[in-house]
Amino acid sequence: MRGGHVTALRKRAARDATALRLIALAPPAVILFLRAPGTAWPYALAVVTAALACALVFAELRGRGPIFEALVPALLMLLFAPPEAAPWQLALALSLALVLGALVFGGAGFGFLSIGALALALLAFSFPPLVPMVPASPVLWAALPGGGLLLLAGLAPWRVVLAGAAGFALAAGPGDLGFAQAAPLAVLLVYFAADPFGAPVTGPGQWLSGLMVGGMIALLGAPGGPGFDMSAGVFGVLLAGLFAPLIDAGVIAVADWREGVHHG
Amino acid sequence: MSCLEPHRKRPFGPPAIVPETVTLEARDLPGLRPIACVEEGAEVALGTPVMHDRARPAIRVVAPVAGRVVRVETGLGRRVILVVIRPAGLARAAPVTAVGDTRELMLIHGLWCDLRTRPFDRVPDPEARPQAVLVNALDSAAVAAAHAAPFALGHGLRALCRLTDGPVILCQHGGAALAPEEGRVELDTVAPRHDGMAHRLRRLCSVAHGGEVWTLDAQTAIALGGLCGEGLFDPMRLVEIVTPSGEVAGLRQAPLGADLAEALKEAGWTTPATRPLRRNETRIDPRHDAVPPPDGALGPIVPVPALAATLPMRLRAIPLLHALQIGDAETARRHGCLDLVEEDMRAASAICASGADYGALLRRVLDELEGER
Repeated sequence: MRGGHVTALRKRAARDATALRLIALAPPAVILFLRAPGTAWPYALAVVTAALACALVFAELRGRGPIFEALVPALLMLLFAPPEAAPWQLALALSLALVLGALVFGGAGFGFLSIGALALALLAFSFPPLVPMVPASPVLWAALPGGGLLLLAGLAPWRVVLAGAAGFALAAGPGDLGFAQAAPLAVLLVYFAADPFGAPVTGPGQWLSGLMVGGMIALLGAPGGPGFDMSAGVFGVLLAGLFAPLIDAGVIAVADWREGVHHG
Repeated sequence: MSCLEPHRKRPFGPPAIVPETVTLEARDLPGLRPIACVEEGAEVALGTPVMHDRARPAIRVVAPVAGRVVRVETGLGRRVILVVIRPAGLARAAPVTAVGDTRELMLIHGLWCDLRTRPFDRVPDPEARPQAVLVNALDSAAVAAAHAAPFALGHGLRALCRLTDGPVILCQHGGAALAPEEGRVELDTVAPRHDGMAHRLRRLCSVAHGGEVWTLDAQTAIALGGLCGEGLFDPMRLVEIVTPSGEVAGLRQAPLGADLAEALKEAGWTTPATRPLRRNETRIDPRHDAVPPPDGALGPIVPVPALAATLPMRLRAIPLLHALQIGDAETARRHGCLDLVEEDMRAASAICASGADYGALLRRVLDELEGER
């Protein structure tokens, strides 16, 4: 019976992608609010307003387009932005990322980057001391069940996540992979690296992309720094995202060549 | 019991539908330009030619019932759109003189129109020789028909060997073999997964790099076997009817073109006034009849594994769907779209969030590629 539910979930995943991704991000957002109800409000208001405003403007211009997809990067921004940032800075970075990463291509799903990662990277570029942060442990733990849901539904390609962990372990050495690293790494891989629109779509491409992200996180990470370097993770994801279409094209070209050899 | 009473039990098998009208449509003959060879008001017997292809008159559609032609609708250039026959009595198998080889038999008795080519999903040329013939016994209607007539199926498969120099492959979902493997007749019983003919074709004899394969329903092979073995021409086909909730309402027997509106109403569907049984149709699910809105703006493809699994292109399912959406025929060909026909895209259209009708998109690309040949 459970198998039937999972099959139904996987079949519906494409149509309910936005809803499922928002459901996955809801628990950590709630925990964030419960921990600091007073300070979280302005940030939430800023990112949600910025996201919906951008999406609405483009929907109006094009005469079509769902707008709620923009809330996914908004929530990611809310969770991973540094507390020192001002709400307007988050809103600005998010708006830029949404417009440049998705809306100019035709909306969410037509671009080729993880918008959440792009927004955090733009925040770091635009206001240099502000680098993405690993959220507090309760928030991080609350994000894990949602990550499981995304993996189960197929909205986060599992190959990317597995290969990302393997790449990190290979590049950093197994000694460095402590428990404190595992949870942020898992969340980063599921929510950013395994973005349904940012990751490659071919199986081998997903393995390669995951290995690349994992390796980049270990290589770019601040040497000897305590905990997990989120900014290294975000830039690793962005770099892998830039290469994703190329990786897919390469995988298909190799398959074409092998078929050509096979068929003479 | 009147012979015209619906669902009258035949001696064997599921209840038969006794239709008010039988409609033969030209849209069931892809690639042909049919013209009528009967006029309105004419009496036809079982097996009388009703229409034939303009360029190759040997390809013809025969009357699946005896009765009177009540309507012949034609379009531009005498091209037939449909022929409606009002049956006189119950459709049943009738003895005929079966002479000639397999090709002639299939052409004379209208079975040729059941064949389809891959690539392009056309009625094949009578002169052509395919690399292989794939017989579709994946639907429960075909399996039930095969269980009811195992000898006819065997005869039919052996007769089909004369169409090709390659294998004749009976594709079924696991279970006991429906026919014995002998000579060039092969069985593909692998995979408990409910994959379609496209998966089988891709695995067994892909046409993505050239060549031609013919496919047909197992019931056509059984009808051919009946002709060869017993000299019986049986126009009846089994068809599975699905309820609105997706459950199987049951199997029915009906001649090609029979009006199924009554049976569908009984299964809980609200259907148009008539819904003829189309050629090679073995499962009636009126949800498939729904025409998607011709909205130009398509949403993004969310590349989930469930969507990729609907197609046999292991690596290329999502890139292929992208190519179809933008109408890039050359890229679609490179990703193997020649192995596919419209009905293979139904599951992808149902799962994909973009709202694209991939069947129509594939048809457009296939037409373009066919034009380039």
